[in-house]
Amino acid sequence: MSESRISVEHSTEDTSIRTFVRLWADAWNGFWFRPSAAHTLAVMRIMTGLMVLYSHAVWTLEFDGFIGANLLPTSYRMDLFKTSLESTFAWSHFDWLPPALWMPVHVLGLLVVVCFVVGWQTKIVSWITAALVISYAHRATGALFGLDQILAFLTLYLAVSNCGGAFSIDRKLNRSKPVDHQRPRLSPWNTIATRLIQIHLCIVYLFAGLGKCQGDTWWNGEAIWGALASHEYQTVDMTFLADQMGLVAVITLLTLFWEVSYAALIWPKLTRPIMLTIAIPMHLGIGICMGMMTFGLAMLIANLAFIDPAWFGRNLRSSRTTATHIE
Amino acid sequence: MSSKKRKQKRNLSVKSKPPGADASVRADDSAKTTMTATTHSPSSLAATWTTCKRSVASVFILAYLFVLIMGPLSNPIASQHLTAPIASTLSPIHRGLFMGHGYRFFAPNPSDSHLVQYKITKNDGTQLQGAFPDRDTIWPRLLYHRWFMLSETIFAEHAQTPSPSEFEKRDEEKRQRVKLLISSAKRKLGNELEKQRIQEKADYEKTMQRIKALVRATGKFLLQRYDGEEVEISVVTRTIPFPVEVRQGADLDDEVFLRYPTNSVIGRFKKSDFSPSPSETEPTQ
Repeated sequence: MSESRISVEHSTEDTSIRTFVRLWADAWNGFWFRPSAAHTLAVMRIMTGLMVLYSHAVWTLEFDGFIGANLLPTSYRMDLFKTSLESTFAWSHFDWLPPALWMPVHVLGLLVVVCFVVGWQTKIVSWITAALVISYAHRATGALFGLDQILAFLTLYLAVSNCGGAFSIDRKLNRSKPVDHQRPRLSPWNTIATRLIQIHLCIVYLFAGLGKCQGDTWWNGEAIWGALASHEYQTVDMTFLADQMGLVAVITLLTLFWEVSYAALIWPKLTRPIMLTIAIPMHLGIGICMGMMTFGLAMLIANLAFIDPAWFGRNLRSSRTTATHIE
Repeated sequence: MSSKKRKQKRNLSVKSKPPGADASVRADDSAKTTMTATTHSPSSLAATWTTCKRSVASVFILAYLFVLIMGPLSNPIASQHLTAPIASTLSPIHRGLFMGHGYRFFAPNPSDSHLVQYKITKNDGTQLQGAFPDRDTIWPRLLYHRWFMLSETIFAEHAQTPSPSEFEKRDEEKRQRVKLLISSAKRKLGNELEKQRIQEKADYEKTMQRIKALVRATGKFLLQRYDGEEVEISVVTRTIPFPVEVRQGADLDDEVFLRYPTNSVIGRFKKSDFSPSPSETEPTQ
């Protein structure tokens, strides 16, 4: 009798462990591989592409200095990395080309990014765009900031996805093929890319927040003053806040709390809208007051990853036909 | 739009469905829940990727996430016993994909900003003074920010590196310590310290070469741009004013907030230094 009880207990334990593992496996599979639509990623593709286009177009204005390596010599770049192995992997396509070809290749690169924005041959140009962003970042080491880091991971993950699956020339061309209508346009690659953007963004905010936790001014409420009163950053005169240090403290502590808690509070349905709503004034504030509109917008673009593709599908229909044809 | 009109519009859309649109609409509904659902029926997955494909992808994803998290865990500060060696191993991936950043924006505190000032002497003896970043002359703002980051890089390289005399002093102290350890029968410890000292010296020399290359390139660029004969480059710190100072009427760009470090002049170059057969004149440190 006791033997049979033990056996029953074992079997119950086995079942519960198996159920537990299966639940975890199902949750994992659902999180990463459940096919999803491309609408959010397509919107991100257009916006990220425009940002890359602008960023690279601006490089043109000081091309010889920053990309032509007159200001940032290759020897400097190579020595910067700890080991020769690292410097080898900090590649740039400009290193492999003769100087006479640098400008033509740069212009060609801009055209590729235009293709990425409009979604023509997206599967190919998205990888080239990601490679271009990384290559320029390696080339201009020493003149980089957060914008380059954000654009690099956005373009990389967009390349993984089927971001040309909506709002693109590719999509329009494919629609003319009758067979294409028969296939649902959901892809696990879209989900994987979205999840990678979401997780990467959480890591960015978490470490930005944790780094701030080490600073006195983020605790005494003066950090935002430090950012707004920096002459080199300032674009809008916010020095009137010197009389409103209580308000500055509130904004400082709110920013700190928001960044540290983002990685946790962005996931529940209840708190996600709040976190996303706070992101808008925070990043636009950085953009408008501190002259880093490109960085602020890039962060907001990354935040779009938390918006349901179906929302974009419903709200950005360009014609009656697309209205009933959301992949 | 009234709800009635909205309903009518929805009906119109349904009527104008192209062939195969049903699948798409279902797909849309499915997509609606995709980004929020954590669980799902295994049968819905069976229609997409096989278990084998998902398993392989899972391994890649886990490996990638590990590589990703090691970036901010090892930059700017790393544990010598854990994260530093791992990050070092992963550095080719971090470099290759431009990952491995610390993401410590405005941390631990918003810091003072740093400018690079230059004094150019032209052929006719006239002098031209300027600084970057200069928001009055550099446009658009993104380009200004590139110059700003360059000035920050130049300053950081200098600020983080001791002057040659300082380094020599420290090096000599270490050398004496090594001698003492070896003579007091602690040969093993002495040898280890000596190895470390030699490595530090090699690293320092490499760093100095790198800084010289950067400042030299800046000097050459400025001479070419302004058609100058000589250029003197220096670094300046602009401190952030206290709220009380601003309340009392101070402007953010007041000279009073500028701080000149002891060795503020970081390089002096002549046009001839960059002629085709250069007589390598070292910049003043």
